Amino acid sequence: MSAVTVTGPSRSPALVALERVQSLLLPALLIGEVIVFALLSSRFLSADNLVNVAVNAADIALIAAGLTVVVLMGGIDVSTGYAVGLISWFLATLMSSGTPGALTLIVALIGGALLGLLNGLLTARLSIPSIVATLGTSALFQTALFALWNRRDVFSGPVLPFLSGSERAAGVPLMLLVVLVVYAALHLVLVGTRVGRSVFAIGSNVEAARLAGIDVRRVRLLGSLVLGLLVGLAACTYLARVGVVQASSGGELSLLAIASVVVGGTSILGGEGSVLRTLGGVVFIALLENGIVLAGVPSLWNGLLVGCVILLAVGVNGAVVLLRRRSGVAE
Amino acid sequence: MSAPTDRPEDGTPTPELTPTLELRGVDKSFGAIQVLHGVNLKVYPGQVTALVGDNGAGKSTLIKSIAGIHSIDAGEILFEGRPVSVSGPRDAAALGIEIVYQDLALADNLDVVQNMFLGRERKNGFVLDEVSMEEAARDTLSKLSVRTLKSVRQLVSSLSGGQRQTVAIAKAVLWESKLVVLDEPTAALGVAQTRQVLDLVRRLADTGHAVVFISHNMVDVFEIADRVAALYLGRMAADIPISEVNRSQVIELITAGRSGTIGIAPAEAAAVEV
Repeated sequence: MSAVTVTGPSRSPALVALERVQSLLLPALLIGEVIVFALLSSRFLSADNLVNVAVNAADIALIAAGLTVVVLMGGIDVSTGYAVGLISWFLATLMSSGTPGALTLIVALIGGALLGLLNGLLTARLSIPSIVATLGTSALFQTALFALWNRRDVFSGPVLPFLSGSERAAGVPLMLLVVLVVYAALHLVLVGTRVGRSVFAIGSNVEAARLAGIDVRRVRLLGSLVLGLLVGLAACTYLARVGVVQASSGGELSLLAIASVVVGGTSILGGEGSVLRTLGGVVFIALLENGIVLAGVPSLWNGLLVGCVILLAVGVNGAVVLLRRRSGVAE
Repeated sequence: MSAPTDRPEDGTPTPELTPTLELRGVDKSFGAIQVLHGVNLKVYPGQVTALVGDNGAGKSTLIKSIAGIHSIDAGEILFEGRPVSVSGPRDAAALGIEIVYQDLALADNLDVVQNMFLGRERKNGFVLDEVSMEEAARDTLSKLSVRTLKSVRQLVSSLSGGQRQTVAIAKAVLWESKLVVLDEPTAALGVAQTRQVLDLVRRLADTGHAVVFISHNMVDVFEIADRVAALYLGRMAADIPISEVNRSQVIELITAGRSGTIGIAPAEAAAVEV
């Protein structure tokens, strides 16, 4: 029996270099950021400030974790911010009418699951591109919030103490532990279970996944459901952080969550990435927001920096994919 | 799995041999257009059956019907002598039918082991059993004398066309498939890689698999096929041992539906062309 030895396709030096840039982008950005802000403000690296950053980043962290699952399957969700706003209006209204916190938390989870399923049904069942479907639902959520708000700000305390920054064990906010547990659980499911493997297969090659007998629609729906549940949980931590629901509450979170995912290095085209990378992305985005304020820079520049970093991360990812195709590696 | 079968010189199977797959009078239409007309086909274990036909002759529709992606309108599909209904890739896989599609249906961002087990991962409780999957993948590849992969943990995106084809075929073997359908496996390959894949296909038949080999390349067909089945405008023009025809006859069967006394009757052929 003969076995012909065939070597794999050669990878061009440019591709190898660019792949290195891609994997080192997040660590480099993080280190650069910490050095610059530490020089600009002595308070930046204090324990108090860092705990503060972690507490304030909880809602973005929770959304970004769920969003990673959707992005890994080649999808996107731009409606998460107003979904958080809409749910928090209901939570604040319930809390101010004396509803027990535990019951309010359940409402948050159910509400999040319903909004997630709506997005999931539009994208997975009706095969509407997720960017279009979630733009539509985002406008829907925003308008619903505006109508419900009706020029009346709703004030509320935290839904449950452990979902605010105040309850701590040995100085560590319990909320931070909730976030870390969510990340650990999602990570284990993604790398260690059959459904996790399906997520990567769908993002990598939908047709292959379908032919392998994977129920693509069901896995997509499941992804949207997980994101929805985390959006519901994020609404609780958001409410604990800001304490009031207004006409456009939550809107800013959509972009920050997407930024965290792509800066973390999860490919916007799907199939490649991890929630742990997203956690790194969240840390970067949260430190950026905080550092800019401490350095006394007008918050206008915050959006500029976030935008540039998104474009940088997506640009590097796109260039890698392009070069891989050109060198015939992905043929 | 059936025992390795002797390959009679003339390509005619021994009389008692049951075809692994038999199609009887299969019809398939898409709307008003009938794509398959009463197609009969027999595929035997231990043999390579070359399925040939021009573009649009119905080859893809035929294999998608076997795979359960298209449901058939009329006729029967028999698997190892028993009538079966295949209504999806999972059904086909459960019977032991593995289709290696032209575009290969591999996930680039997954490694060789992950691709070979995609959709059918081994579990240890809830958790994937990576160790046993990796072992099984390595065993299968060595059984097929595949020595071209550096590592079974390589990402598929880093493999060459021939290596990817090898992985797709090895997947079929791993799953102890009885019938392997290969859709133009050498179409995109260079000379050395084509050699490698043809050897692998032959080994597949020699280990008792029934193989359907779709190809436009007559050199490849005459090199490894035991039987040839020619589709002409949705009709099976011939399903015969390859020893009974030569290359120009096969080309006539592909382009005109008949060649001398072989093929669909002249009247029918004329009717088809109108």
